[in-house]
Amino acid sequence: MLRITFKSLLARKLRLLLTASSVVLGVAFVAGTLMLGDTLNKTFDNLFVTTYSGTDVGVRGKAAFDVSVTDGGDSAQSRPPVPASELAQIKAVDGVKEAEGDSSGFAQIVRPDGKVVDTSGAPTLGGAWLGDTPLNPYRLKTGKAPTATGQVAIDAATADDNKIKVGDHISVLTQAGKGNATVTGIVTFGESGSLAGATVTLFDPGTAQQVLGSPDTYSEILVVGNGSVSDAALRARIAKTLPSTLEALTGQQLADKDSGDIKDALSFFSTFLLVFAVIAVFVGSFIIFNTFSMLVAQRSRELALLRALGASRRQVNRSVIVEAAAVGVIGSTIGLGLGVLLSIGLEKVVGLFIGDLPYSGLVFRGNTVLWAYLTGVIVTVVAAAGPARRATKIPPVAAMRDDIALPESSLHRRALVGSATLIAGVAAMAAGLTAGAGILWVGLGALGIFLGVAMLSPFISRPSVGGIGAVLPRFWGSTGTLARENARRNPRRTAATASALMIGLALVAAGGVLGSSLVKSANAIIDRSVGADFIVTTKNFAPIPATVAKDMQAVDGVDAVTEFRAGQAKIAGSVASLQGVTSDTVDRTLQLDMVRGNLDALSKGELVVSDKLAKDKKWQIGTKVPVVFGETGKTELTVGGTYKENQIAGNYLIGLETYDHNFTQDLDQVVAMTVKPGADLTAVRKDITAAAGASNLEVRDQSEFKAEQRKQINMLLGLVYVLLGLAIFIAALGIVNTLALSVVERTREIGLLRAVGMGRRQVRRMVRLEAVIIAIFGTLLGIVLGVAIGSALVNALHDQGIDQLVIPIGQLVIYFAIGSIIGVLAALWPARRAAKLNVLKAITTE
Amino acid sequence: MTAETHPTTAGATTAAARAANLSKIYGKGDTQVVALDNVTVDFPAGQYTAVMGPSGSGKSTLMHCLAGLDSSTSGEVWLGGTELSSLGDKELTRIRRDEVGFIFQAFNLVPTLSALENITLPMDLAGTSPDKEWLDKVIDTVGLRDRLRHRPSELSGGQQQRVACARALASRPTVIFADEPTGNLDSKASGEILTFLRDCVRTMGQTIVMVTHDPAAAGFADRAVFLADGRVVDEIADPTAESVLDRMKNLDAPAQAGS
Repeated sequence: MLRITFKSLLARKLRLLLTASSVVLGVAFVAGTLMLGDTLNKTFDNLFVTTYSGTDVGVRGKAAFDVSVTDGGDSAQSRPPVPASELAQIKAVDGVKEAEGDSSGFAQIVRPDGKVVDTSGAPTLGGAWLGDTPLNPYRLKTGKAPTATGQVAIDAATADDNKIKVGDHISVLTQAGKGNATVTGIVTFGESGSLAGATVTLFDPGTAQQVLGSPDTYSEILVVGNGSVSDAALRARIAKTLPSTLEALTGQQLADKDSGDIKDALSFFSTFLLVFAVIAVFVGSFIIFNTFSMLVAQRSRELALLRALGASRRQVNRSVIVEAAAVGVIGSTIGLGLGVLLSIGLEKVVGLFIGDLPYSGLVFRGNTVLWAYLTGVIVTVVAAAGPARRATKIPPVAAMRDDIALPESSLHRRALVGSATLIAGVAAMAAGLTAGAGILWVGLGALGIFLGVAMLSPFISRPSVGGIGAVLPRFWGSTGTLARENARRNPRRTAATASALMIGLALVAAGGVLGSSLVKSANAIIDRSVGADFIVTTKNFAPIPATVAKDMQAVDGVDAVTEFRAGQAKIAGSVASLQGVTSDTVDRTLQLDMVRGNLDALSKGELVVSDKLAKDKKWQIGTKVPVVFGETGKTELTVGGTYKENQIAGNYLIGLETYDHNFTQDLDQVVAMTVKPGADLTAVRKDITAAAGASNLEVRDQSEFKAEQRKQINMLLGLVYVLLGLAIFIAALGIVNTLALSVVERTREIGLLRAVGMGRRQVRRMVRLEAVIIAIFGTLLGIVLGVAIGSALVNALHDQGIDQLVIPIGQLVIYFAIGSIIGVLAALWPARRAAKLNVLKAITTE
Repeated sequence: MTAETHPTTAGATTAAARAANLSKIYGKGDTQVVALDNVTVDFPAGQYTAVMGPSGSGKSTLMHCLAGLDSSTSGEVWLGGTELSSLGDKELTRIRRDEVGFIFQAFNLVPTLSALENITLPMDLAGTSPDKEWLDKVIDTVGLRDRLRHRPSELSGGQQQRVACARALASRPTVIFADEPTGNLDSKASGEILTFLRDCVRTMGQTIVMVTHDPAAAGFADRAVFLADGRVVDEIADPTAESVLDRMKNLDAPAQAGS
């Protein structure tokens, strides 16, 4: 029996390949994502191992809370700096050979030509040149080390990319403002490496302390032992001397912790990509299911013969399952290979977001292989289980008969199971969206909805396909009629093929609704609450030195200038994002509807919060709220006012004075300003742009700011669409597969049509029109479903300020057109095959 | 039989279909099979010809070549005034659609189309509208008026073959080729179809070439042509089941002059 299975498998290599292709793509995505994750992890492991390679023990502030890196948090904000006075004490600990205070912070390089070095989002690191000690992870490549203010060393990659040489005069933007410096040296990280696309600017330790942190603190103190005791023992000795706000960690612990932080942030990307991999695999399973259903139907006579010759039901069942498993193994193997290529491509995608990564070699772990095969084989076998079961129901007598009708599972049961799945899906999604059960439930709900609709779609496929195809006979006569009837003749097959496409398009349409609603809501918020005439931001959310705001204030015609700074703190027991704003101008640049109190509270060092939050927490004006700032520790802030929910303000506002007191880094996220009445906007804008100086600053008026929000949302959506493209591509392969198998199945019929005078072009058109009908059916189902899901999402996000539901008709029309074109493209090859059939052979086919 | 419907000497001018020195060879070298060996035969217009012969005699190949379904190795095939062997797929498709009607043994109808749609299919494919009067006449002749909206699966085997006959007739082709048209039918339905075909020739002047190995079927024809080993070995005018059966028995004997 097994031999027969494999023989039949090998006899139809093309079919095997087509079936496997849907497995291949899904598995490739899974494997590629896993490999990417492993590769990124290794990259950052290496990075931090190098950073702390010469460090035996490090001393730094204890984190008061875990910052959320994905929310734009900076782990430095969660820890107090190390008082400079600790250095002497640590040096005195027995077993310490050397100890140095390190300062790190924001330092952006401005090239000699005045252009800011753009890292596309990668960090712009500033640090101290720790001299010729093992503690210094940098090595001088050329030139000399910086020894005084006005001298810097920069990393070799940045120097090469920007053609900066030793002796060049550059500027460096830090929180202390813009400073001029001469490049005295070019350094490498470790022996030869660069730092994951980041730029590095090294100052002499004194200057570093001044411009990156504060004069009497360090960000870390690094220690190298004299070898008399182990790192762990040395760590324990040092820890004893430290106040409770500081901690000592071995070099290994430091490396693990820091790379762990980054990995947590990056795991978001892997999860994000895995979601799309799951979608691809899910769509692929429809194709596999459909293919095996068709294969069993086509082979029913052969299977009946086997049954007649004495094969048991189990053997028939097993032969189908084994064939599926074989397809799964072959598909997984090819998919694994393709995954290697894909992971390289995905790394580039990730690079768009966090900057170019050094290619430290692809990490290929056993786990990836295991998951690839598990996914491929399990999905194929599960998808083929139904068809396999149906194969066992073929009666042996079918071998003797001409008219073999494969027993179909009852439609009654299908309706029941389909409805139940659909309802369960809707319920799960509703729970995820409203009851706060979480995003996982939303995903499971979507899965249930798709499965349910797919199961129910055969019921609507006959009338819908008839309706969609109703116009065909008018344009294409009997060719059109034939195409329509072909699409109608097997509702299950049409429905399963269309469902695969439906999933991709539903997600695209849901994204379209969500994106459009986001844009409209964001615009409405900007209209409602932005009072500023000009808004200054940077590319890739790089911070802005506080000096920029001062320079703006000096521009003739500028009235109120407000700085916006971001930070995280533990407020009333949970980590939250807050904004520091210029207390006396914020009421003019940001229009807040105050519910209670007023914004003057900010200058008094009080906390102003959103009204909804205050109600949730039952805070009144005057309530003292416990706040833990990472760098300065526990304090209490009094609630001085509440405002009506506002996306730009967020939940918490504090005055700039309060912010400066509790955060070391004086860097703005956004600078907003109003213009004096009567001032010439064009002239002021020109002056602002000139004063902004640094080329990475972008000055926008309100309408440009809106356009920018739209651009950002669309960019994100674009990425989602690219990833969904894979699912849609797999669905298109499904159409190819279904049509190709249909053509084989209808060989005789096509032969007859050709014999009675159908031309090759007409045959091609017939197949093509059938594909288009199936594609349009799937597309319409998907769009309807997607609009429903998208609307539900928007509705659920009402509390997050997304209060405008937009159904983007124009976009939906485009998706519809794309769906139809997919049909045409998918039919190209099957149509050619059908047209090429030899008439005589076709009509004499058994 | 009158001489008018049964010319004894078929000239190229009056032949609806004609094979001249037609050979068809499959394969090469040792595996070479000669399906048709220098066959010359005429099928006069308005005549009902049965092509007889045992399996492998080349009768189906001859029909396929005459109908533009298969290409010949050498020789000429004439259908009406057209020589087929030099034509490409496009022209052959047109010939099949406009000049030829087919009735196969089985699987004659497109399952997704109704009986009427099946009948008018060749004209629909050509984009021409059927001659309404003629169509009515054909439908009445096959007696299917009350079944026109039915799908093939809702018709009996005999009814399906009648629809196939109607389709073949509807476009008034130069020749109708019937390949064992009663092979799948019981004797009653067979008799109906064969009578019907003969009537088409008599009353409508249709030319029919029927391939069969059933002497009873051949008995309905005006003329029987016998093939063996790819050659025309004999022919009988006004055959009867008995005379055909008689002749068939002797087919294994060396071919006699008279073809």
